[in-house]
Amino acid sequence: MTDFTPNEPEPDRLLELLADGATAGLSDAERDELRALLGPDRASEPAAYEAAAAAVALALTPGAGPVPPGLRARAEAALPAFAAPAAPAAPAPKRRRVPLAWAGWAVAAGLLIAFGAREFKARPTVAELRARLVANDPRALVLEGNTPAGETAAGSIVWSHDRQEGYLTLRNLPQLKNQQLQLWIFDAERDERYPVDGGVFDATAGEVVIPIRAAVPVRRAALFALTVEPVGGVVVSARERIVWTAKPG
Amino acid sequence: MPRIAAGDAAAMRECLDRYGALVWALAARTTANRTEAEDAAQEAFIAIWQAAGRYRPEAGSEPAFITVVVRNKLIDRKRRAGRAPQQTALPADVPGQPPADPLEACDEAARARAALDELVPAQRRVLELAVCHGLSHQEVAERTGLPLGTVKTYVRRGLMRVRERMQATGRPEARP
Repeated sequence: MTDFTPNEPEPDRLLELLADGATAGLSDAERDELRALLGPDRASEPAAYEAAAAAVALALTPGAGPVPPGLRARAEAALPAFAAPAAPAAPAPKRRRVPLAWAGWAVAAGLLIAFGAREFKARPTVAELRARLVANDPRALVLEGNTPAGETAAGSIVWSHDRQEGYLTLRNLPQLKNQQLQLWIFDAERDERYPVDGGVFDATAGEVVIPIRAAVPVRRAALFALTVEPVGGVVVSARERIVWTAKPG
Repeated sequence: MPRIAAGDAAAMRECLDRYGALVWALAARTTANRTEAEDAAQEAFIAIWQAAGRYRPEAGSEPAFITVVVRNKLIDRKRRAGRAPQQTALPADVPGQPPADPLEACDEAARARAALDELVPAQRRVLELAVCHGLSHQEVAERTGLPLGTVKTYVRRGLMRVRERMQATGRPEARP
């Protein structure tokens, strides 16, 4: 076994930041400091320390038993938002002798056609998905939004509690530079300070339909709010600029 | 992972089957109660699906990649919630318990175990509290009675030792 002398000189700041980043995470300021200390040649160091911490976690993590059934169901419910729609079943090809030289081309062409069919025909548009949700879930919330004074955004939201699926239909969005819009879902059964992140998207001209990507299950939606945030969104919004809201009756 | 990145729902379900227990174990050890653990695990599953396209087999095993992604998500979540003192849902002392199945053949875990075996018990304990239970260095110091500086040194040196062990065997780290 090897011991380390705890009374060694003040640890090197770079190593301290690397270890902190791998175990507890860093603030934005610390991340900037680390980036400056590393320079371009050692930019992969944080990932190496994260990997070391992950290996320790793997080595010391006991089996926790099976995934709770409720969690499994929730994870499966969230799955459609990330899965591509299934391709339609292709009709069975007729058996026919094809000269070998042409067989490869035929296969390639078939794949292209199948891929094209899947990409351009089978995949429904977001607007179609929204329409399907409204048609298939009579309990889905369909709400017209409110526009705070001084803002222009208008539109509606559809949210299905049962399916944990929803869509925003918006128009007259503000023109933004180096910023994006982020949807927040306030859950009546969660702490109001930490609304559920519903996804980040660009403010584009015209009418847009945006799928909602709730980061965690929403148990009872109490308010939907759209804020302006830095590109990529934030973990906790300062709620400085709210451009649209919708509230269930 | 490539199938998940391509949006294959069946692959996502296979991922739940294969790594669900691992994700659940990682989440349960760093959260205060079962409800919070389930929320954290749910976020972690989504993070895996979103990160799947970044997986490179040559850089490490799937369990190692998944653990990096899940740990980053758990750290983010804890920072978001603030560092309120928390209790762990699973027993703190777990040496000797068998690991979850996907880890049995995980190369990175074996190397980390070898490195951990070289540490004195106190250092190993500090590393376990900081890495597996998600405690801050201050919280580890309070839990163990060790000076904060010692805790920081133990964590830093412990990770360096594991990293050296992983590099020495010639395989680069898993990176999401």
